[in-house]
Amino acid sequence: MNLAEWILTLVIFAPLAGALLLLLADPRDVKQIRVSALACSIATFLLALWALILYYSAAHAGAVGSFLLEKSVSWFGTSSGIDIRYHVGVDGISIWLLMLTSVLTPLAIFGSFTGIQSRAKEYYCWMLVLQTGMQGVFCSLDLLMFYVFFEFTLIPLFFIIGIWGGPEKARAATKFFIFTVAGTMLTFAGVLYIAYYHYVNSGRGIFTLDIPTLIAFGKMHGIAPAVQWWLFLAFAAGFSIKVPLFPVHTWLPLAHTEAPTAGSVILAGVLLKLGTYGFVRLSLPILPDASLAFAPFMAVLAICGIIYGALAAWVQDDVKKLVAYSSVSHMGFCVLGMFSLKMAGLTGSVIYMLNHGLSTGALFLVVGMIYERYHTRDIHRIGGLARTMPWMAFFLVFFTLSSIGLPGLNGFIGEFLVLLGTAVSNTAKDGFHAGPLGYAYAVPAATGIVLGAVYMLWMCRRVLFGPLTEPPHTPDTSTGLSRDLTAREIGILVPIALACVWIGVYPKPLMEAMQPAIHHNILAAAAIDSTGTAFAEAASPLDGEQLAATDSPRTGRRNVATGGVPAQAGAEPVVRCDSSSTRPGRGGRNAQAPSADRTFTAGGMSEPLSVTHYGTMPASLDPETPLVNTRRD
Amino acid sequence: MNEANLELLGILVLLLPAAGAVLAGALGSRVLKGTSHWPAILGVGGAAVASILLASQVWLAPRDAGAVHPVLYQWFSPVEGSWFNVEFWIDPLTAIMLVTVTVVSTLVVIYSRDYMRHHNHPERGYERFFAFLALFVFSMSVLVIGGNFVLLYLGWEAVGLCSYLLIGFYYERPSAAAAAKKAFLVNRIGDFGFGLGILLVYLTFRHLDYATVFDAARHALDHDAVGVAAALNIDPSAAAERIGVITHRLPVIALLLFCGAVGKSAQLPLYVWLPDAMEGPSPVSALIHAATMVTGGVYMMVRCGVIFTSSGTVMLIVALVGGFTALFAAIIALAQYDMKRILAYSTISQLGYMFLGVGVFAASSAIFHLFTHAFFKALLFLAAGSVMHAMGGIIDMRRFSGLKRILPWTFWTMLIGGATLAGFPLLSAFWSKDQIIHEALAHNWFLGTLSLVAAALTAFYTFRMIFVAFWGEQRVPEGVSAHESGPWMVSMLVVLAICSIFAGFVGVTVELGGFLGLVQPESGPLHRFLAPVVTAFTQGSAHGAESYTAAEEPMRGFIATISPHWLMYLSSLIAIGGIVVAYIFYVTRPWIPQLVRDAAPRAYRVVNNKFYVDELYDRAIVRPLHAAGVLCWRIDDFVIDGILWLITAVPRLFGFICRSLQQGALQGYGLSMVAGLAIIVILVLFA
Repeated sequence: MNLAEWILTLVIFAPLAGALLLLLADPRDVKQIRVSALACSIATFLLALWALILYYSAAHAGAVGSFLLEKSVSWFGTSSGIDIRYHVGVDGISIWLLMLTSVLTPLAIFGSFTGIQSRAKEYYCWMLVLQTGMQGVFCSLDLLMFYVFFEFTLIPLFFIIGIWGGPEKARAATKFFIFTVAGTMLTFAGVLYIAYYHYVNSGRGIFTLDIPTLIAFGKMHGIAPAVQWWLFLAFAAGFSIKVPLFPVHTWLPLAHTEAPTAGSVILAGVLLKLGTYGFVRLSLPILPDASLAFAPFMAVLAICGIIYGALAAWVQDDVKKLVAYSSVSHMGFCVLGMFSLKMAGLTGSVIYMLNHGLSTGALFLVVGMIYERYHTRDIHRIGGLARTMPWMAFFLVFFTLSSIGLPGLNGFIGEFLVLLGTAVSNTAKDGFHAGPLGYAYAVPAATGIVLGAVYMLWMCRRVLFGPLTEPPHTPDTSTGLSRDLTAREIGILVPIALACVWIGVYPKPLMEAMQPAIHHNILAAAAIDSTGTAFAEAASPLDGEQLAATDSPRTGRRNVATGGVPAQAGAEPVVRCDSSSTRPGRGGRNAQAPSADRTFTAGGMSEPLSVTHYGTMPASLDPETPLVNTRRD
Repeated sequence: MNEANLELLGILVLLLPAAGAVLAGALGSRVLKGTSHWPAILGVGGAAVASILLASQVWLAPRDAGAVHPVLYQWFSPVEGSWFNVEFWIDPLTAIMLVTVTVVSTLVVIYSRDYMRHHNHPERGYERFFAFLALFVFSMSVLVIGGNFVLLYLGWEAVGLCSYLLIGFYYERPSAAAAAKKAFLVNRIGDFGFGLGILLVYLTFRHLDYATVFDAARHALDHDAVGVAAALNIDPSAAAERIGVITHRLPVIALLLFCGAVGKSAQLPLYVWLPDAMEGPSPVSALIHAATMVTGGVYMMVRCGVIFTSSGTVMLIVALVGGFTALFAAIIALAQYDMKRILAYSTISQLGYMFLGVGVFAASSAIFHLFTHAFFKALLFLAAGSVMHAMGGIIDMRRFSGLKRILPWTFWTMLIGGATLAGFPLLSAFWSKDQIIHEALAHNWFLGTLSLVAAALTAFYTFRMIFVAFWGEQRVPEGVSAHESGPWMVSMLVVLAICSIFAGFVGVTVELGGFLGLVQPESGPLHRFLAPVVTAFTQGSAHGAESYTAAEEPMRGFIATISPHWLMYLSSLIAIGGIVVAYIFYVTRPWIPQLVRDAAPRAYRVVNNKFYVDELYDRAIVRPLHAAGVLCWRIDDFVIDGILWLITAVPRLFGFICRSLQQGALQGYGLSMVAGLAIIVILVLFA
C-alpha cells in the first residue's frame, strides 16, 4: 500500500474513528474520556505532520504547485457517465490549513478539560467529529465531497454551541445554523449547475465534480461570463456568510459569545477559513472572469467589514464579543487580499488565514481562561488582572500584539502582504494583466490597522491594567484552577505563541509552499487574461500612470510562460471569451481521457499547457457571449 | 571596510541585548530576582562595545567606501522569487546612531540599578523593567541598522511597543495605563501614513531595500534613464516613463513618511503623547522619550534624504513643522510645574530644532544636535529622576525647593545639563543648536527668528526649573527624608555631565581665529564623517529645492557680509539673557511671575492647560469615532437583523397561515373538506 496515497484519508478519518471508539467509553469516567479524546487528536496531529513531511518531500522532488498526496476513486466507475469521486489531495495552500486544524483541535480539546463538566462524552465526540469535517473540507478535491464536508461541520458545532453554550445558546445555535445553511443552499445549487454546465459544454460527456478538472475548465474560461456571474453569486452566498463578510456577519458575534471556549476557538480558528478557502479554491480559479468583475465589489464589502468590525469591537463590554467583532475586521483583510488577484495579496490572504486562526484562537482561549475564573467577561467587572495573573497578562498582550500586526510576529506578514497586494493590484507587474484593486483600496483598509490597535489596547488596558477589580467570591478555583494560569493552560498557549513567532520571523518555508500553489491553481487561471487590454489600461487612482509590464527579469519568463499571448492581445481581445458553448473544435480536443486533462494542474510549473490549447483554439466565436471585462473599456 | 566583520558586529549589537532581555525576562522572577539587572547591563554594554568597534571600522574606512549592506536571510516574499530580506545597512549615519543609542542606554541601565530600588530593595517588576529596557535597545538597533523599509518599520513599531510597555510599567496607576495606550495609538496614527508611504515606495520602485530605492531615486532625479534602468533592473526603454512616475511620487512618499516621523518624534500636531509618557519610570523617560527613540523620526528623514530633498515644498513643511514645534513646546514649558513634563516639552522643542535642521538642509547639524541632545537630555532626566527618588516620587516643583544642599551631586550635574540645554557658550548644545539656527537664518529669516525666540524661551524655562527647585528656602514634601542618590546613579550623572560638556567638540574644529578666538563651527570631524551620507542635502538645491531658499532672501546676503561668528555671540547673549531673566524672576524678585499671571490670567490658563489640545482631540476625534462604533453595533442589532427578520417573516407568515389550518380538530377538517367539495361542485356546475 502506498502510504502517500492514503495518508490524507487517515488524517481525515482518524478523529472520526476516535469518536466512534469514544462512544464505547463509560460516560461517568470523564477523566478517561477527555484524555483519550486528547490522545486521538494528538495522534491526528502527528499524522498530519507526517502528511506535511510527505508533502514537502514530494514538493522538493519538483512537483511544487500541483495537488499532491492524491487519492482518487470513482464512486460509480467512470463508465456510468457520472464521475463523482472520492478524491483527496493537498497543495501548498490546503496543507497548511490542514495543519492549522490539526494543531488547534487538540489545543481546544485540552483547553476544555476544566470548562466542560457536563455530558463530557458527547462533547468530546462532537469535537472529534468536527475535526473530521474540517479536515475533510481542506483535503477534498471533489466538489460534492467538499460540499458535504462543508455542510457537515455545521452539525457538530450546532450541538456544541446549543448544548454547552451560554445563556442564549439556543438562539445562537439556531441563528448560526440558519444563516449558514441559507447561504450554502445557494452554493449547492451552484455546485449542481456547474457540474451540469461542465457536462453539457466540455464535450466530454461525463458528469463530473472533480475540482482539478473544473479548475482546468475554468482556466480556459470554459464557462460563459454570464454564467460565471450567477455561479459566483451562488458560491459567494455560502462563502461570504461563512467568512463572514459584512453585512452578513451578524450571526458571528452571537455565536461566539454563546459558544463554549473550544467552540469559539474552532469557530474563529478554522470554520471561518472554510469560507475564505472556498473563495480561494473554487471561486477564483473556476470563475476567473466573474472574480475579476466582482473583485471591486467584494473589496468594498471587505473594507466596510474592516472598519465596521473595528468600530463595533471598540464599544463592546463583553471581551469575547470584542474579539468576535475583531474577527469580522480581520477576515475583511483576508478577503481584500485575495481579490487583489495578485501574488502578494493572495499569499498575504492565505497567511492571514493561518495567522487569524492562531492569534484569534489563542485570544479566545485566554478569554475563556479568564471566564472560568471570574464567570464574567464584562470589561467593567474585571480589571487590573496583570497583578494577580502575570502569565495570563503576558499571553494576552502577546496575542494582542500578534493580532494587531506587530512586525516580527505573524500578523504583520499577512497584513503587510495584503495591503501590498491591494496597492499594487492594478499594475501589470507580474506579466499578468492588471488586477482590479489599487492604492485607493489600500488606504481605507490601512485605517483598520490603527483601529485594530485602538480596540485591542483598550481591551488590554481595561482587563489587565489599572487597579485590581474582581467580582465577589472570585476567582473560582473549584475546578482545580489556580489564580494565575496553570501549567496545562500555559502548555496550551505556548505552542501557539511559538507558531506566531515562527511565522513572523521565518515564514520562508510557508511561502515556498504557498506561492507555487497560488501561482498554479489560482493566478494562472484568474489572471491568465493577459489579453484583457481593458485592465491593462486601468488607470492608477494615484496619478494615472501605468507601470510597464516588462519591468522585471521575471516578467520575461512569465511572458514566455503565458505563451506570448500578451503580444497579440490588443489585436484580438475577444478571443478569450470564446468558450460559452460547445463547438466541434473544442469537443474534439476535450474528448481526451480525463487524465490528460488533469495534466493542466499536475504538470508542475509547466503552466503554458492550458494556454497552448487556448492559443490553438479555433476562433469560431459565439457571438452572443458577452465580454465580461468590457465595462472598463 | 571588512564586510564580514561589520556583519558580525551588527549581529552582536542586535543579539546581545536580545539575549539580555530574554534572560532577564525568563530567569528574572525565579532565579535572578534582585540581580536581574546584570543580563541587561551585560547585554546592552556588550552592544555598546560592539557598536563602538563597528563605528571605528566605519571611521577607518575610506570616506568614499559607501554603505555596506550584508543580507542575513530571506524573510518573506511579495512575488515568487523576490524576497524582502533581513539585511543590514551600515554607513557613518548607522555608526553614529548605534553608538549614541547603545552608550546612552548602557549608562541608563546602570543608573536604573539603584533607581529601581527603594531602601536597597528591588521594586515590583524589577526584572520586567530590565527585560523591556534591553528589548528596547534591540528594537532601536534594528531601526537604525536595518537595510530596508520593512526592517525600518519593524524597528519603528517595536520601539513603540517597548515605549508602550515601559510607560505602562506602573500599570496599576490608571494614568500610566492610559498614557501607555495613548502613546501607542498616537504613534499608530503617524504610522498609518508611514505604512502607506512604504507601500507607495514599493508601488513606485518594486523594491523596499535602501540600496535599490535610493539609487533609483537619485538617478531618477538626475533624469538618468540608464542609471534607473540599472538600479531597478528594467528595460532602459521603459525607464524614461518610470522616471516620470518616480519624480512625480517622491514628494508624496516623503510626506507620508513624514507623518510617521511626526508621530514618533512628537512634533505638531502629534506631540500629545510625549508629555503623558512621563508616567513611566524616569530612566525610561531619559532613554526612550528623550535620548533615543523619539529621535527615530530625525534618523529616518536623514536616511531617506534622497526622498525628502526631492521637493522644496516638502522640506519647507518639515522646517515649518520643526520651527513651530520648537516654539510651541517652549511656550507650554513656561507654565508647567512638573519637572519631568517641563523636560518633556523641552524634548519636543529640541526635536523641533532637529526637524528644522533637516528642513533647512543642515542634516549633519541635525544629527549633531541629536547626538549632543542624547547626552544632556538623558542627564537632565536622570537628574530629575534623582530628585524624584529623593522626594519619594514627588516631582511637582511647588512642593519642594532649595534642594541645593540636600542633593549636591544632583544639583551640580543638573546645573550642567540645564546650562547645556539653555545653550550656554562652549557647552555641547551651544554648538549644535547654533549651527541649526545659523542655517535656518541663512535659508529663511522667518524660520531663523522662530528658532532664536525659542532659544531664548528655552534658556528661561530651563533655569526657571532649576531656580525653583534648587534655590530658595529649603523645603521638602512632608514625611520625606531626602537623601542623595546611591553611587550607581550619581556616577552615571557625572559621566553624562562630562559628556554633555565635551560632546560638542566632535562637531566643531578647534583652531585659532574662530569664536572667542578659538573655535570654527560647522566643520567638525562629525560633519566630515557624515558628509557621504548627507550628499542629498548638501546638493539638495539641485533638485528644485530652491523654492524657499530663494536668492532674494534678504538675510542670506546680510549673513554673508558680516562675520560668521556674530550669530554665536548673539546666541550666547540670548542664552545668558534668558538665564538672567529667570534669575530675576525666580530668585531675586519672586513676585514678578505672579504679577505676570495676574496681568493675563486667561493667557496663563491656556498655556498652563497646554492650549487644550488634548481636549480638542478628544472632542473632535475620539468621541465621534466612539459614537460611530456604537452606531455600527446598533446597526447590527436593529437594521441588519431587522432586515433579516423581515426576510424570514415571509416563510414565517406562510407557516403561520398553514398552522392555523392544521388545528388538529376533526370538525375543522370535516368543515374544510365540505367547503372544498362545495367550491369544486360550484366550479364544475357553473364554470
